[in-house]
Amino acid sequence: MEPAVRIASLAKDHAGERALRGISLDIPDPCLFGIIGADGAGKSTLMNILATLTDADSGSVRALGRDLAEEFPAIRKDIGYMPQRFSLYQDLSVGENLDFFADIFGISGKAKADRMDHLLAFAGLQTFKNRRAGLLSGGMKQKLALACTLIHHPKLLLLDEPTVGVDPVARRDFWSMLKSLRADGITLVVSTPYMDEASLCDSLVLLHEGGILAQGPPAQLVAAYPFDLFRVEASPEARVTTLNYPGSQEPPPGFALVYPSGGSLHAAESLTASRRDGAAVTAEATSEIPGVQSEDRFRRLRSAIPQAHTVTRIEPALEDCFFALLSGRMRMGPKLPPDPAPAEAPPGGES
Amino acid sequence: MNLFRVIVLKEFQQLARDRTSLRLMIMMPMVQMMVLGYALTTEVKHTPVAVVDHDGGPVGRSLIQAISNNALFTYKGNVNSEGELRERLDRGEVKLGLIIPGDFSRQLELATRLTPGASGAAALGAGSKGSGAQIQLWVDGQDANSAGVARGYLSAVLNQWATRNLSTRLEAAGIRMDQLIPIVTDASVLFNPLLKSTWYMIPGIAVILVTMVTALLTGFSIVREKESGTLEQLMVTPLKPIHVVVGKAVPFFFIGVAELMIALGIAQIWFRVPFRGNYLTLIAFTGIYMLSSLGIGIFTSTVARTQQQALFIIWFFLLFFMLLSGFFLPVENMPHWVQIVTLGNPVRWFMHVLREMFLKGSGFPELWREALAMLAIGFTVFTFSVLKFNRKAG
Repeated sequence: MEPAVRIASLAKDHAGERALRGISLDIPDPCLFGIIGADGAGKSTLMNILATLTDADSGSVRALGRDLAEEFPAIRKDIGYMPQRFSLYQDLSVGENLDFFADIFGISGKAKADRMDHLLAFAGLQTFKNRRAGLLSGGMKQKLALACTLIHHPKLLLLDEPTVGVDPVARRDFWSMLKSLRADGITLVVSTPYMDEASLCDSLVLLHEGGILAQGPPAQLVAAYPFDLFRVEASPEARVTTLNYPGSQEPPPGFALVYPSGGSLHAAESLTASRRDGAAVTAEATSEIPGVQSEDRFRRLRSAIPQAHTVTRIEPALEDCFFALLSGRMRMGPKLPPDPAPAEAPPGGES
Repeated sequence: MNLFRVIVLKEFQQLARDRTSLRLMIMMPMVQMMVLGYALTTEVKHTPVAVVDHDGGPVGRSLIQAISNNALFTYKGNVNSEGELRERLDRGEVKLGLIIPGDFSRQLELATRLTPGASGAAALGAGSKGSGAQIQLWVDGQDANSAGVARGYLSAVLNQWATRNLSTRLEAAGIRMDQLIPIVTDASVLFNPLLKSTWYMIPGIAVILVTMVTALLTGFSIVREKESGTLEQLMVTPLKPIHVVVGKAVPFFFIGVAELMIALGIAQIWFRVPFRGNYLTLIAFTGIYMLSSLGIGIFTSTVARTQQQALFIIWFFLLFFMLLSGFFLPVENMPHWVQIVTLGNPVRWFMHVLREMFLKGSGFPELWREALAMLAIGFTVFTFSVLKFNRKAG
């Protein structure tokens, strides 16, 4: 079966910079597909191309069985696109906005009324039908925007950072809506800067400087994490409860990365044993210290981070993979196995 | 539903919500017509005049009387010397200065005695070396046009006075003046018999109003959707640029016609300017014209990314269009090459059409050339703008 979207060596210059440098990517159908990456990584450029708003400089995209550049008018009938900014008419009511988009897609009569009722219920906006869109809360605006992009039963939904600036509760609601759409068989492509959201996706691609740094299901990315990870916390009694580790400072010997996460620091220790043989992973060992003792690690950490009080062994999360990948210390192999074996549970924590 | 209609309906829906803009759209033509209708007059009236009377005799006084009795001038009194007159001109208190020489009465008498029967016994104007009484005229020439007109008026008043003066003197000598002057002009002024400049300016103001409202509002309306991102959203639908552009232009077409009707009403009811044309012809011409004014708005929206930029661009165009339209200054007075340039100026054509329709009651039989010119310009501007308004979100 053809994937929902097949991107082949897609390149695009934006404002004199290389925004996308020949990326190739398949997005299966159906799928909740996440695009992650730092600002300027090329997320929005890719979204704009998929949404038929920008032409690529080279390469091709096939979406829903059609060539994007050639057949964009036909494709537009089958995609829904939700831009980063709230892009509905603030001076029209919730109902009028839905009505307007229904008219554009030629939905009329009972079909329109039914669809509108369904979407209002889906977005939890029934009681706000007559409220002006501009007066809705941030979260409700995004739900309305989602409802408007769904009015014509799109097969492919593109959402560009849909939850930026939305409160956590509304974000959770929004993602459960996306999940249920996915369950209905729609393919969703979502770009997000939030790692907790990314972990809810079926599959992810990590963009960096216009290229693909890693791709695969979140669990597979996490399983490929090549380091032993520790959380370093300050003493609860200490005056400084937030630990910092200057980016310019080299990590302590034996450690690949030290970076802040929440109020504490995460320290990734280079593995010496090839713990993850199954995954196509290479860990760049900064120093070879065979048979390290746990005390040894702590001593090294403590000497580098004077305020360090507690050091806990933790499981890596997607965010840790993200940092490791961006640092260049973790590399995904060129080809990932199509169906990864469930990640072997790493040894338990110690403190 | 037809996609054009979808946009048009939405546009009207949004307009109806925007009470402030609606009020402005109704108030603006009213205020502008009321104020500009009075302010914009090419008539040179009440020019302040001061006189240096070195003669001081009854003849000089009668001359001053003739000036101060005339509504075209405001007599600001006598000053003692040329120096003082110059000061008052410098301060801008007077625009015209009249210097009656000390021997004015004597010269006048001498002149009449020496050449009985010669018309224009008192040679007027600075630098005139002819035999006769000389009067000096100082003119503030900053505003060349008004200065010229005022000088002409004053010369005419002086001439009139001189003729009357001469005629009395001749009569005393037993010669009847009217037998000496055989040509009598009987001018009859057509279309604007009282030569009121309001009758000429008011239709012009209406043109400017319609142009401003339609060009600015269309431009803003599209650029606003660009700013808010809704245009991008619209582009990812089956809507084509033509739907968006035409759908947005239609409501502003109606607004333009409404503005013109308000202006027309004020012109007729308040200023009593006769409208002698046909209303349907007027609407037809307005429609043809608005292809251009709406087109300018649309074109601007393809270039501008913010409403501020749109304002700049539209003003840039409108300023040229207005000044080169014959609104204030007749196109015939402009250098030849500028006149050729104005052929591409839609405002020039509509200005002419509206003035002709108002005062002469002209219609398509007389104005078909203007109609064709506006159609050609409008079609070009509109098509170009729509083509430039591409699918990549404007």
